[in-house]
Formats: sequence, C-alpha cells, structure tokens
Amino acid sequence: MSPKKEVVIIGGGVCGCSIAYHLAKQGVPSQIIERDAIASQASGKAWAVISAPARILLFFEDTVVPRGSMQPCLSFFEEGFRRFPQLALELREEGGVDIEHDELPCLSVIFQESEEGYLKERLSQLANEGFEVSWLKEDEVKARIPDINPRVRGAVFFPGQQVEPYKYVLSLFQAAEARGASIKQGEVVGFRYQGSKVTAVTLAKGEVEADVVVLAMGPWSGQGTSWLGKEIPLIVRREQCLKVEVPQRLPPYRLLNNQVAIIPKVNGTVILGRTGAHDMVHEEVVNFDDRPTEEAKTSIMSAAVDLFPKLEEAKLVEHRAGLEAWQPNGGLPMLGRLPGWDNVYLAAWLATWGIQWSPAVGRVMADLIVKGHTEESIEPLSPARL
Amino acid sequence: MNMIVCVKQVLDPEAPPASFKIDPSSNKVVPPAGVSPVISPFDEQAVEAALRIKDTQGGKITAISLGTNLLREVVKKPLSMGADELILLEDEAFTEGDSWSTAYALAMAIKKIGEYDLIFCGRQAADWDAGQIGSGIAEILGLPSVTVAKKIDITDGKARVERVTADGYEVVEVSLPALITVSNELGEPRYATLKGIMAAGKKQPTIWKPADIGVEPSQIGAAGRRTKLLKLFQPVLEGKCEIIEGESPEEAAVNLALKLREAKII
Repeated sequence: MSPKKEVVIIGGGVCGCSIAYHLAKQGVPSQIIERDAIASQASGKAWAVISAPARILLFFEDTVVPRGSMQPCLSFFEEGFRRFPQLALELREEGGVDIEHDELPCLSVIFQESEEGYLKERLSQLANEGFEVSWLKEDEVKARIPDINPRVRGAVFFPGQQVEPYKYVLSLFQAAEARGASIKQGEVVGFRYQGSKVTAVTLAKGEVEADVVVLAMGPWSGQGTSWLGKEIPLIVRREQCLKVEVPQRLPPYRLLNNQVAIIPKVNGTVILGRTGAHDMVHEEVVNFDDRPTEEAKTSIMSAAVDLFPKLEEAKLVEHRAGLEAWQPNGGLPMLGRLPGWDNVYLAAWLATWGIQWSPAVGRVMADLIVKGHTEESIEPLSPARL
Repeated sequence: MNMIVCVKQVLDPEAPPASFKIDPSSNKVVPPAGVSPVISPFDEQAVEAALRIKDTQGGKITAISLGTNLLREVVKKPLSMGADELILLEDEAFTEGDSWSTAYALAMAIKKIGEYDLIFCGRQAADWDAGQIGSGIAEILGLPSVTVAKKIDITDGKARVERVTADGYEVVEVSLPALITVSNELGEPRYATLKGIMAAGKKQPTIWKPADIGVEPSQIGAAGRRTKLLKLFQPVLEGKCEIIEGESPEEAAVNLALKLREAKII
C-alpha cells in the first residue's frame, strides 16, 4: 500500500488513536475524524487499569462470558500487559506526554469464608494452566493494607498496571501526529462510494476523500456500518465511576471486592468503580444514555467506605459514566475488513477493555491495512463471521 | 453563629447553549433533555462563605430553597457540604414569581426561622441573573445588606466585608444581623466528602407551604409579581467578517492596524 494514500479513521478514542499510532510507526500517516474531542467518550472516563490475563479469566468467565470463549482474544490481554511499560517510555519520547503508567497490583478480597472455596478451586485450575496467581491470607492482606475493613478474610493477588486514560490516548495521537497524522473535527453522516470502494467520507459540513476507511466508532459502530449496508449488532453498556480526592495517599493496590473497586491513580486521585453482577456494572442502555445515576453514586460510595473506611473523608470531585460497545452475549472484539467493501476496516466491540487491548488492536489493524494480513490469525474475530 | 443560606435549583448553566429552547407560547425555557439541574453556582459560594465562618467560629447553617420539582440530590448539596438543616418552600404557589414575590416568600420564611445572625445569598442566579433577591430580602426584613462579597470576617457582632467593585474592592463594616450576597471571587466552594454526602442522604428536609409561613397565595409566586414578562427570546447573532488584504503579511498587518484605529478600537 502506497503511503501517499489517504487513510481516514473515524473516531478519536483509544481505538482510533492507537490505530493511527501503529500506522504511523509503519510510515503511513492517517487522518482521524472526531466529532467531539480526543478521548471525549468512554476512553477518557476509564479506570485505565491493565489486568493480568488470569484475573480476566477468573472474574469474567462463567459470570459474563462462557468459559473458554475468550480464547481468541486472550493474547490481546497478554500483549497489553507485556507492552505497556515500553509503550509508556516510547510515548513520553514521541508523544511528549507522561501517560502516568505504573505498576498497580490487584488485590481481590473476600469477606466471607464461604467465598474462599470456589476461588481457591478456580485458582488452582488457573495455576495448572500455567497462570501466575497467589492467595494472600488475612494477616498478609492487612500487612499490605492496614486500614482495610478488618472483616477481610483473604485475597487473590494479581500483578497489574495502570495509565491515565486521557493522557494515554492524547499521547498516542501526538506521537502519530509527529509522523504526519492529523485530526479533523467533524461529524460523519455517510460515505460516497463507487461500486464496492468507498471514495469519500461525508461530513455534516463538507467531505473528506479517502482511499482507506477505518471505523473506530465504539458504541456508534452500528450507525457507521449501517451507512455501508452492513449494520453490525452490538450492545451499548454504561459504566459509571466516581473520582475522589483523598487527604492521604492510599497503598498502591487496586483493591476490590464483589461490590466496589478502589483504584489509586498516579496523580493522587482515586477512582471508585463498581464490581459485581455484569448487568449492574455494565448496564445496558438505550439511546446512548450516558447520564450518571444517583443510585450508582450512592451504592459505590457506601461500598467503598465499607471496604476502606478512611474513604469517608474523601472528597467527591466527579461522577462520570462512559458508554461501551459489547458483542451481544459475549466479550470478543470484532476486527477486520468489512465484507462487501474493498477498502473499509472495522474495529468494534471493545467492551470494557479498549485500553488494555489497544496495543494489540492498533498493531493488528495497522498490519491488516498496510500488509493485507496479520501475524496471527484473527479470523475468529472477523466481521465476515456475522 | 446562626446562619441562613438561600439556594436556588437552576438548569445547568454549563449545558451547551444549543440545548436551551424557549417555548414562545408560554414564555418559558424548555429544560434541556438529559441534563440534570444544579445549585446555582454563586449560591454554592454563599454556602462556602457560611461554612468558612462555621469552621472558625462554630454555628448552625440552615439552607432554604424555593420551587417545585426540587431534586433532592441537588438541593441537598448544602447539607453534603456541611450545612445542618434544609428547608424547602415547595409549592406551585411559590413558583413563576419575579424578584419581588420570591424575595417576599423567602423573607417570610426567614422571619419564621426567627433566630439568625447572618443571611447569605449568591450575588445573582445563574438563570435570570437579576441579582435582586438578596437586597430584596434585606429590605423586607429591615436588615443592612452588603453585595458582591469576596471575603467576610466576623468579630464582635460585626462583619468586615471586602466587596468587589469595577476596578478593585472596597472594605465595608456592618453590624449583625445582616445579609451578604457572595461573588465567585470568594474562591472555590469545597467538594463534599463521602461522609457528608451519605449523611445528607439520610436527612429529610422540612417542607413549608404558604400557610406555614403566613403568606397568602396572592402575595407570592406568579400571583404576587410586580413585573410582567413580555417576551422571552434567544437573540439571533449575526457576524460580519471582513478580510483585510495586503501584498505581504507586513502590509496586511499595517492595513489591519489602520482599520482598528479608524474603528477607534485601538
């Protein structure tokens, strides 16, 4: 593919910006079209934690997705986990932004001994599959987190990392921009095409010519694909969290139980998010309703104060909600060329893992666009399967 | 110190301008869909002013709000921040008033509360920006008032107030009880703590109807207005753009400077 061709990416979230970055690394500049601002939707409102693959399996299999179904994208979790430390250094250099990356191990605590049996059984299964997991006893948890609710009985320990979401996405774009990428603010309303080739992206005001189109539209992917006669199904889910300021830094762990997650960010603020039943944490919504709810605020606050009582003194700075696009009845992403079109590519269904998957998604999509193929098979994730 | 703060629930002034529409038949603003109302920002500063005095001198803060469709999570904000009590004048009869009939209702409610050293109001509400409620309440109650305060110190039954002027500030001393309207120069209102929010969640406001404060419906709300709203509209903004030409950037700059000079802008 000649670098002189116009690659247009629709969507300036973590997905679009990572694709722009990975294209730029291969010498291909692109233009992002974004109707609001970089990372203005879910990407900027994320917890932005990077989980050990074992944790994903332990907590999402059987509860959210059928066991074994994440196999086709497990490597995406691993790639994120492996690449982020180096990516943080590269982005500071090339994108000029410190993405506030750090190690942040994860402690998943239990209060009831009855929860211990099931967890320990799953842990030993995961250990047999070669994953690194460990169990901490009550006194070990309290040694690391002295101010935790004394009712804690034990915890699963996972390694983990984190970044600052907006800075990460901005840095991806700025690094791409340094190599020729650009961004245009505008709302896409359709496409111009000739036969099975898109020739331009139509905006509310004006038009942008394109040789290659990449749809990175998150919850709006259905809309985007409908303009090309191939509306993909997806479920829009809303995830809420609170941002608080604390008088004293918390111990450097993502601390969670079956109701709440407490995530101390590098800049000193703390994110309080929901855990627990899938449909409560990632509530399905209609009409792209991203309004935070009083019910979520109240339940997050009381669960957080219960888990870590000193959070009573925390000041509530922000209550936010982001919209996620999920595979119906599953948790796999959808990546690949849009069937029926010569030059349209799609990255969708990034669920709640947009940030962690972004290094892999960027790499895979860039390879597909530039080389026509990827190192590994992503056929199980292809839109052609629909 | 016994303090009273008047707070108003308004449509969020931070919502995009395009989301505000006016219904011409009723002369009313249509609330933007999907946007929650908030406490008027200057009123948050008024609460902050009271809290700062409570921090140093102790005391009790009673918040009052007037209207209908008052969302509890919005009007309880003063409680979350540290106010002690919330009174709501919640009745249709109180609504659609002008500055006069609204100030009258609030003044009569304050009279019923009885004991107070200080009354705080925001300098103006973020929706109508009339800026008259504070002074109006003070007039009706026969109290001295100081407007547009940026700093308030209390000693020996007197308030020393720095108030904002066009080109600086002036210092005024007033004996208590007095009413003070607060401006944003006071500084950022404090964030509520989780403890404060959860405690406020459990508190019930006191609700007063017109009869509870000894007013007739004819004296308050729409019925008690002394002004009549003739028309409510959004002005259509027109822009005119003239491109200043020149053979070179330097010449264009000279031409621009001349134009600005002619228009007496520089």
